Amino acid sequence: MKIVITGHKTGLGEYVSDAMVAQGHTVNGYSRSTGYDINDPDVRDTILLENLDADLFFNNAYGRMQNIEFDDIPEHWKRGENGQLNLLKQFCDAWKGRTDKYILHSGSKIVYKNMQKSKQVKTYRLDKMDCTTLIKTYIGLGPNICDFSMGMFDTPMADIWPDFFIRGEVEDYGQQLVMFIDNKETIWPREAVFDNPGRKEYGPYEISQMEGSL
Amino acid sequence: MKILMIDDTTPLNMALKDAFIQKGWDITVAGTDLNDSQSILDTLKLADDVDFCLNNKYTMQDGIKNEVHGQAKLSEIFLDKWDRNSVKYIINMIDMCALIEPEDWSGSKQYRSDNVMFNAITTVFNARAEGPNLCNAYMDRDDMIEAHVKLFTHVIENSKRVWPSQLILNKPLGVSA
Repeated sequence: MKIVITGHKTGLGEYVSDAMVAQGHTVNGYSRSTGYDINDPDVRDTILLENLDADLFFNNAYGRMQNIEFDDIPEHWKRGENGQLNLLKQFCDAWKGRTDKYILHSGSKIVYKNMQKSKQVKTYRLDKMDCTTLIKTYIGLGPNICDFSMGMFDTPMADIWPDFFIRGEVEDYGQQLVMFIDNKETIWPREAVFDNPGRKEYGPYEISQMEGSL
Repeated sequence: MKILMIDDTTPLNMALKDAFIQKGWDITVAGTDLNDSQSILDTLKLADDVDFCLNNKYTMQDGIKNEVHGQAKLSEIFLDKWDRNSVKYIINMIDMCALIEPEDWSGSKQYRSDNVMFNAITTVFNARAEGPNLCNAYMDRDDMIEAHVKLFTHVIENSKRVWPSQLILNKPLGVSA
């Protein structure tokens, strides 16, 4: 099987990439550290054109947030400009009606929450919501898409979000993703919403907000 | 793992029980009569002795409309019993028809109505931030048995590390029954 993975050099992307290579699959990986920034339209075109014949696309890299301070979000980060969303759109369009193609999308459980958070978190939530909305329009059409929503876990991106409790490890979620890929011929969850058990996910930021509202 | 299964008589439930036993897990089968309120309440007596409740039985109640059906009642009383208990787990097996528009559903209206109501009740619960850990699994219970068994076994096995609050378990497009 030929698999495309964005963000394959760190965190979840690296875990899944390593697991797939170990199983003998061909992995084409694209990461910022290897010169592929998915916020660049030319890079996205390259990724798509090099992988039209792939079997599965793991839309993992988010594309924003690196080394950006809170409340210092660039103006050009407007809604709809997100690299992950646009790459998802491009693969969905290219593979429209193809029931033999699979897209595994790294979503976020934050889509299902509505809590007061920083400007940066709101931007992140809107981006992930846009991806989830797009995926819903492809239900039953092809390609097979799984919106895999996750809670907060220990990944490099989490370093810049100190206001959250980090509950999980990369391998916790990675193992689930690998299981889904392994079983894709028999069962394919169109939505999977995962978090770490206990769900005590309020961090100092949320608690201060809640206390402030009392 | 100490697992309470409400039923072990359908092909899927039998296969799940066999797989769980092979894992060495401690299985209790309630055999609840979902048409009998007392039987549902009696099932709760087993709650203290288990970590998981696999709410895997549906019984259609003929002639009863717009009332919470037995499977949903069972879920409600376990959610209440295990309120704020983050080491308890409930898996609700809900038919995929709960997510299908009425005009696209050719099966029993009562069956769809029951599952829609079940979905609504448990989705409200899932918005809460504390335990128990609830998983709503939307599925076709009569299909993909081997794949379902593999998936649920994996989910339960990893339950202390990661837990799905929602799984919509489709068959891949283009794959026939």
